[in-house]
Amino acid sequence: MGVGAALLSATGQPTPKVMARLAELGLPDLAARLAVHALPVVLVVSAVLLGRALGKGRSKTVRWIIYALLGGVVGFFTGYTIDILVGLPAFIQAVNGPLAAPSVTDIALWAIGAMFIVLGLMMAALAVFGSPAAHAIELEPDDDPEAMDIRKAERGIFGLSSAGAFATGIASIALAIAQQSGDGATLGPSIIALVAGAASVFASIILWNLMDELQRRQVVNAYAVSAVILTAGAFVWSIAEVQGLVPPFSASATFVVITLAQTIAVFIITTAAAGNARVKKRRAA
Amino acid sequence: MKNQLRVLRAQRAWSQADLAEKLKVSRQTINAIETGRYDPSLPLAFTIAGLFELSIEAIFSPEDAEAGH
Repeated sequence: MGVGAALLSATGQPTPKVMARLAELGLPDLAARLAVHALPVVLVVSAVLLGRALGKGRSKTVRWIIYALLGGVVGFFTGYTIDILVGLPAFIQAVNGPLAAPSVTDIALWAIGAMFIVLGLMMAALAVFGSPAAHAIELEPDDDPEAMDIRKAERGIFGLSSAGAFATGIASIALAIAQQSGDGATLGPSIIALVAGAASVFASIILWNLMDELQRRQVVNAYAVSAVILTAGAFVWSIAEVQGLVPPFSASATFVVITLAQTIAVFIITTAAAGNARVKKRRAA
Repeated sequence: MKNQLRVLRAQRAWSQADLAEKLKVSRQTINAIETGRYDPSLPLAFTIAGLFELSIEAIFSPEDAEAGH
């Protein structure tokens, strides 16, 4: 996340309004620019360090409450600082033409795209740097050095996962841009979305072939759980739609909900399994 | 299921990653089997038994085996 914030910070430009506000506070131009660019990175890195320090020696519930609180505060301020560094939308509008105001679905597509790109960055770090990156990324690094050991074969899988996550992120953002583009300007982003989507599916198929039986079982379990939740959700939405309580669901909104549900299910099932392993190891010790 | 995987691995001074490479599975799978979080498939259990030159029963046993059930 620190790297992601650094990239956004480096590619963005503070708005004149923000710079004027900082000048009013008495900050020289260079110092103000440095502060605005450094803030997202400083926030993310300090939140991780603070979370680790405050959570040390506390129960799992208290630790995760601390992480959630810090994550909420930092997420808000990082979002705010990224919002004032509006470099990316300006660049897209220069290349693609003017964009309409985003709908709720568009905002969700942008958010999912950003989330997958950050995930891709994290997995790329694991692929390139191995164990040191695992220690840096994990909020709760395992005491057992073996558990944090990442060998060459695993780095390959992380590399491929990273490519898949990047492709999914680009596909989501390109779909949002296509939806926000005016008549005649939707073809370019649609083609990018299709190519990135195809790359994402291709990476998923290769990954599935590289997975062992436990990894495949975790994916199957996660998808089964998300399928039950999504089916129930679709059923309830259908009834609400008939009653005129909610609007009809678009295909892109369906893509957002399915992607989000599957990602959350995979995350919960894999992290819960890792947590169980640590508890059992401590009990055995 | 209980298993002797950690003991057998330690006797040979293999790390989890070493054993994972020999069995062509991920290190997380070895960790999950050792901690009793995951019961391997029958083909993987046979591969493990073959690697250690033991029978499957010598490595894996039901949780309630000591209770005489």
